Amino acid sequence: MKRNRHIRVVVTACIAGALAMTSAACGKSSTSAGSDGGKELTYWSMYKEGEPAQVALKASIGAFTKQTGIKVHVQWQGRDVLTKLQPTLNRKPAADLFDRNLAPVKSLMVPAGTASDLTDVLSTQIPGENKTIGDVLPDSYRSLGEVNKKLVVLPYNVVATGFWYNAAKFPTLAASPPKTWDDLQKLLDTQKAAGHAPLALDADIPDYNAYWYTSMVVSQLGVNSFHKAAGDKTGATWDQPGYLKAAQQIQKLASGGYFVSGYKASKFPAIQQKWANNKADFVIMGSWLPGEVKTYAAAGFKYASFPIPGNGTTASPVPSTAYGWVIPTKAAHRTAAEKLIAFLYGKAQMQSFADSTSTISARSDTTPSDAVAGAVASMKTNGTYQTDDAVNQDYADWWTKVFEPLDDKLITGNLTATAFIAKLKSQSVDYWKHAL
Amino acid sequence: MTASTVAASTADPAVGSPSESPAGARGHNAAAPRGGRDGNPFRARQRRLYIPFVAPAFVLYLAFLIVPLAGTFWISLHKWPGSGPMQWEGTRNYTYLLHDPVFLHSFRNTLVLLFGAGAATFALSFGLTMLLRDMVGRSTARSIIFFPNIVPALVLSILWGFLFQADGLVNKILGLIGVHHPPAWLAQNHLYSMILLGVVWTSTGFYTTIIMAAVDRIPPYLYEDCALAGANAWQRFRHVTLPLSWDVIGICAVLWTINAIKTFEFVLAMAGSSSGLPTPEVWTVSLYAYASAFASSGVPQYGLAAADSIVTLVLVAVLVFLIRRVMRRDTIEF
Amino acid sequence: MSTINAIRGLRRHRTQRTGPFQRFLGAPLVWLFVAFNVAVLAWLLLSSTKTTRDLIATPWSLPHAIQWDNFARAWSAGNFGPAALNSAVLVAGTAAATIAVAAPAGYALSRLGARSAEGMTSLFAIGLGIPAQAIFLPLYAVMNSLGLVDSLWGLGLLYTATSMPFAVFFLTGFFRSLPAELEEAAALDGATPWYTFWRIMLPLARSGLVTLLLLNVIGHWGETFFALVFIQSQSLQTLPLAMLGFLQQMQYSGADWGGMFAGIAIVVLPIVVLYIWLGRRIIEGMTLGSGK
Repeated sequence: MKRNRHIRVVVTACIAGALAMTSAACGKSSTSAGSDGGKELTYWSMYKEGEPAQVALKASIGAFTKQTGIKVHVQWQGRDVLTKLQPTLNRKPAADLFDRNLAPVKSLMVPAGTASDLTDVLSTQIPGENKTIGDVLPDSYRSLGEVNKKLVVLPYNVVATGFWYNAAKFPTLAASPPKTWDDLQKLLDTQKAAGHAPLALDADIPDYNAYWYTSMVVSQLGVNSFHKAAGDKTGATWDQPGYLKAAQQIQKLASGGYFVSGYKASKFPAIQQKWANNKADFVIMGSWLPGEVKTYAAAGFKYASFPIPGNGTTASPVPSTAYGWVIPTKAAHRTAAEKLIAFLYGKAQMQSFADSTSTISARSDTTPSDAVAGAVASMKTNGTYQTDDAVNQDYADWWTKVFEPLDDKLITGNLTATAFIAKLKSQSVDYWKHAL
Repeated sequence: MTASTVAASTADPAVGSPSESPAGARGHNAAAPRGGRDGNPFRARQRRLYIPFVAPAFVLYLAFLIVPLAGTFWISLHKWPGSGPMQWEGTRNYTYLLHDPVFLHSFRNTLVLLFGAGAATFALSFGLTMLLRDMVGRSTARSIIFFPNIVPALVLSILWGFLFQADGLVNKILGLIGVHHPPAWLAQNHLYSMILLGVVWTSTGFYTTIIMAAVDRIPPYLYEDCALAGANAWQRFRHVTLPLSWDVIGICAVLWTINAIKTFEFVLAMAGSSSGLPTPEVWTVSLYAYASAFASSGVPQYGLAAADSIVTLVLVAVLVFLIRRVMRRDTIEF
Repeated sequence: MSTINAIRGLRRHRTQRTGPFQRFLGAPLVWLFVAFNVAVLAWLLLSSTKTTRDLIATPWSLPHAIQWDNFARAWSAGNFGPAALNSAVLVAGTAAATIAVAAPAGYALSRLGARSAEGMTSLFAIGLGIPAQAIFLPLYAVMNSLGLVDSLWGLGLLYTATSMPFAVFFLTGFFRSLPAELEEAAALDGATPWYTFWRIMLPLARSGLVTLLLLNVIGHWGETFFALVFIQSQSLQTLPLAMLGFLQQMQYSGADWGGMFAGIAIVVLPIVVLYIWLGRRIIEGMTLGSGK
């Protein structure tokens, strides 16, 4: 570890041009990084020491070194891994391999061409198995790591967004989930009539509010419909009826008292906590939810989810995010990094990672935990699309400054559907007129 | 917990009293250096220490603050995602700010914080100072008042949640005394006020500590005389406390301006989740810069963040200049 | 002015200073404020001994059973041990270096009568207004070219440098308020200027130096932003970084609020203790123009 740090310091010191401002020449020659003998690599992880994911990965990496003799210098960097790595990517990346989800890779690396295409890695054979990575990675997951047909993030595990509930309270729902928004509306009405709060939402988190409108638009109008409207500089797309309809549906939920009381004036995770203690029935959330609330959920809570309902003719695909492997274009030890990926894709490794983290493995032949089994099944039948229709990735500034503030008001009942669409349109036109 | 923002803000208040203390010390110091200027050999030798004494501090300051600041200005004239080539934009980032409703709103929020929360903080600080002046256990009290400044913003934000959310402690207490429909404290339209309340709470401890230090130096007999002359509390404040701690108040006003404009941690912590940003409804100019550079997704807009920082700095400079102008007057000797 | 003179003219004997308002309404208000602050600290500590379930469901109740485990978990999972050591060394070094550099500067600017002193002092004061986020990118370039990224030495140097505006500004004011007589007497006795500074003025300024030291330590103990940008290796991480890492784990490995509050307590307590121990010095430093 110590040696590795030394290497990194030297490497880091050499990227004087990283910030385009310094021209300080770097006199020292990098002694260590030069030749790629395939005998070592540096891996920066998005996990921190002590996390279940880190424990699982550490064990797997240990096994890898034992089997191949390739030494892996690991830094458990945490979620800021790319922010820290970014300054080094143009010259000599400080890591040969790291893991992250698509959004930051797409905005920080793809434009600068610093993320390599991993499509060819799919044909790598998994050690000890008669299969390649591509054989066990379903298309619906693979596409979550692609930008313009280039696989920049090779998915390792997947987060699926859907309606979460307590299966102990709704034992029949798994077999017959609501197929359309009307079905769902009926279910909510029944619950409300029985004196239950049907819905939970921590409305102080704009991204959570956004799940509702974006997934509703996509389920009505199909994948890419929200993305198209968001990028429409004339704003005309918003006038198409489906967008208003989705807003009206939300207005109905907001003004009809379907959300548990206090949802618009609490601080996360207060409402989530209510949901986990059976004081509200359903919540739209990513599949990390069971893991996150387990320390304060009611005893006997059985986590289950059903997908966002469709429009009656087609089932709605599942909003999903992939976390996976990234190799910088200029990585010094690419071969070794690819070997590690292939090793970690082994069934035993993938299964143990999924088991210890309760996440959804990107490998199709692993067995999911009970909590996420339903989500895995719906991704298989309905297909996937990027969470928030990738708008939060591609039009992040518009998303934060124009969409989310209006959406917050809509879902807290402070804006009618018509006013929402009208403002969304006019503010978007204005935004794009001045956009940088 | 972030940054030297805190370092500075935690440290700042102490500036006040010693540097501008109204007490007679000032008279001395003015005389001391000037007296030596003509021909005194000791003074001459002393002055040879000037450069070696000041240079190390100045070099550090220049290299790590002024030079990077110039760099920031340079960045503000470009479009730049944080790595790779910079694209020349001229003043475009600045004109964009003028047209961005979110920036204008953030700017307005900052002014509300600066003047609204500022007025509240100073009123409270003076009130506390006057009350503490004659109290038993004053030194204990003033130590404890300072304490919120040590607590990380994250804790404060969680505390605020438990206190003010829909079924939080405040509403429970209000329910007990018969208020059954309390305002939705943390709803979007009230959230910023709640943030201001938190800022006022932590800052009051700060400025009370400084102002008290100044007020402590006012000889007690002046108050006694006042009381004898039949002056009420307000008159004593108006005619003794205020004029005699005027210099310190001036310093406090400058510090407040700087710290208020730099405020962002508590706002950020109110966002609740580790990676997300709070709603733009509650952004300040500092948060705007932070959001432009560090949003969890999207291409970082360092040029815009830099432009915002430069605007912020200009705002600080103008306000500090104005405060100094307004507050300037003759020192009262007593 | 005239008011004061008029009042001064009326000067008589000592009288009761507190009015009924202050005694019956004011003092309770102050103590309420004080009690609130104490309650917050107590709440923080109590919360750190509760289970996550209790903490979120009943934030105001006493713990059912004290969860010392929270501290053990925060300490080990967050890797707090080495981080605490790094922080202690870094913060102590920074405070010492800051004083070593700023004290001569403050002295020179306030008492040597140089023509540029006034402008120089203002220049330092302006630096107070520069936010860290405004300069970190160019700063990265500077640090990088000096080979100071990912090094505690580098971070310490950076902390020292960014402390300069306040430290110099503060000490300039402080030295200025010291009495001139002793310095003059020393000059008459034939003391060298260095001796005068080192043996006379510096000890006089002791309470100001301690105040600065304490404020500097408080400020850097919790510093996250620069540490996040400039430290990459885990072995070098400071306490706030360890804390941040610990927080980041919560979304996937289960919300651990008990552990989080324990972690916060671990970060905050040393400062509270230091503050209680030296706190009076702050007030003294602020109050006194002349040290003892």
